[in-house]
Amino acid sequence: MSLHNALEVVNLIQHHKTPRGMLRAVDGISLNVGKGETLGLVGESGCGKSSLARCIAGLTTPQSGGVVIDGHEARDTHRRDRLNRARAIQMVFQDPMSSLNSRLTIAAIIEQPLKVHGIGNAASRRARAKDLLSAVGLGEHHLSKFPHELSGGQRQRVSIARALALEPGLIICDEAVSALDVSVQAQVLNLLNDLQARLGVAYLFISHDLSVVRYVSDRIAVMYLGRLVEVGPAESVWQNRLHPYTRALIASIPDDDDRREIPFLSGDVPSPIDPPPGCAFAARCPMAQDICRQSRPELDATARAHAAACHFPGVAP
Amino acid sequence: MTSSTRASASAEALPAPLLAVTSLALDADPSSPLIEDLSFTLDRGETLAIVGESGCGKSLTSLAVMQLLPTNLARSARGKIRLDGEDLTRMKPRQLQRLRGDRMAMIFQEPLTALNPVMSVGAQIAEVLRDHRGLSRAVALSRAETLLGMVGIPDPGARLGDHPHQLSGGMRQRVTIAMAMACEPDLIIADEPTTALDVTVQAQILRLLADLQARSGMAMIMITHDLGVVRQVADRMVVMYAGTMVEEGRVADVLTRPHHPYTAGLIAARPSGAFKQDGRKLNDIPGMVPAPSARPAGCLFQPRCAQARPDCAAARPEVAEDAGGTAPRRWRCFHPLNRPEPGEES
Repeated sequence: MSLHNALEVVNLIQHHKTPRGMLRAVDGISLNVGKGETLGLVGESGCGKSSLARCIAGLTTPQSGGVVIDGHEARDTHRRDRLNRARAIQMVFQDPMSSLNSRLTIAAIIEQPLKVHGIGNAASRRARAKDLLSAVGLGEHHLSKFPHELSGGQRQRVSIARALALEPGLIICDEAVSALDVSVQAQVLNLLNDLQARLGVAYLFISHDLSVVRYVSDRIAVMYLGRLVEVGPAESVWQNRLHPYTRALIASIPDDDDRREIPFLSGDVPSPIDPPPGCAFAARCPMAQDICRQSRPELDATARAHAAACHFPGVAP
Repeated sequence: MTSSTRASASAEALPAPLLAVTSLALDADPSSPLIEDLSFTLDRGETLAIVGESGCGKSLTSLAVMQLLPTNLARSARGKIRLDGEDLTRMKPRQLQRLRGDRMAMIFQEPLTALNPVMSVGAQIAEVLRDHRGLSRAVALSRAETLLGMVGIPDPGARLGDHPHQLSGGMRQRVTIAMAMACEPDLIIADEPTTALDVTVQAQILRLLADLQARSGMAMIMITHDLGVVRQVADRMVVMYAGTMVEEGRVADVLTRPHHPYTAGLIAARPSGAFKQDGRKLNDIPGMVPAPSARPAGCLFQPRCAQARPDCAAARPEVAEDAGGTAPRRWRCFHPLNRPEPGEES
């Protein structure tokens, strides 16, 4: 309905100086997430998924590039800018035990964002905390408990309730279900889908678990060494797999129903410090040619259609 | 057929299994049992997966088999654990030490904590061979190089002097596998060996374990929470819930026709094979695993079970068995699913 996307990221760059060279954590990423949409972001450890999430949420300041939230460019110059950004984007982290303050009650944890933003009075905040808790499927008797008294799944529900408190347009779920057992993971995934249907919140859903990403995402983006290598509608990415890295990732899922016979990927993800020129994946790619080692393939990730950063997209090895 | 019988005195199979765990029980204190009445066997060359969610007792089971339980738990242990007919629970510490690393070995989830950070990986592998085989330092090191090559580490000679922090996670796990394989054990226990690894590296490690197993004929217990891993590597599987075995059988049978509602719930909770557009709701299992001190009366799964009936809360179901043919099945449920004749005997 709305003209604007929930989130637009334009050529975001986040490099860190290290003693061994320049670490290119986020190396020129553009993407967008529509309102009420889920964009799944997959990639292996060290590919820069979490760095990207932190840049988008404003927890770290990128070197360059822009983050546009619901049509407004996010700035961090004033406290007011940062507060506005927090109202628009919230995060749910992997480990609720370390992302929830262990000395606060559940009520205080959920009320805190409201307090910081000066919303309501004590009574109305308590009432809101109760509503939020019931929205994530927990009874109000939990309000006076502490995080250690809850199970892992319940703690993650509290994280979600806290993220919802300011009614953000976008929630970044950074490995939000990865630490949960499969039966509890299913509860939380169902909850996230229900909340999206009811509230229209958009998700940037970051995970290394491809079957989970496939299940929750409208679109999927695949990240490798600080860059996006493929993006497109979930079904199209899964069925057509333009980039050889995407093909290798999906083929690596143990006993996936859609497994196709392709060579296993050898070696590990190379270091993001001073990556070679050309395609970052060329060193592990079974079909790399000379051009792959010389010129870097680009990706137009803002296009809605399915695209890949590969000189030979969709070519079987 | 009338092959379905209550298993109380199941006859020993003809060839003795490599590993036989009989009526294993463990508790931290008598009011909170951690493992109750667990029995399973493992044949030579076979892979058995033990599956369950956190707190179900699968890692304790592997530590019990290795006789590596903390002393307070070890003292509470009951039941028999026989490796090749010898009862490990009656062995002296020195005998066990000779056995561990030689005839049975273990691979852990987190190789960085399993390896010694201040010792080169070559020396760590060589240590196993020097202790168990009495090899000289030089011979043990050259054997360590061969082992590193065998587990797929490129340029193994140059890696011998590396310390664990210099290797990637996948390479470290290969080193722990090389250590476990050093004395060509009869039994390897792999406790979530790929859970900490990326999916492309996981695929490499699972394939490596399968290759090594095919070449050496060792038996393997794969402890995992991932049904995809089970389907890829295992012949048979044991499903555990709250410290008990709830189902056992051949992997293909259990995953296609689960008898226990918990197994069925686990299978349906996996998001595999669905897109968001399909609009399929995942089958979640309501509630959570009960704490050892708060286990319910009757069937342990009954408070979370959609199929529960009044009798489920009245008594704890015994293990039922269908010994039919080549693929025996066992389950612990009064009202099993996917049975030709529902077990309604009362």
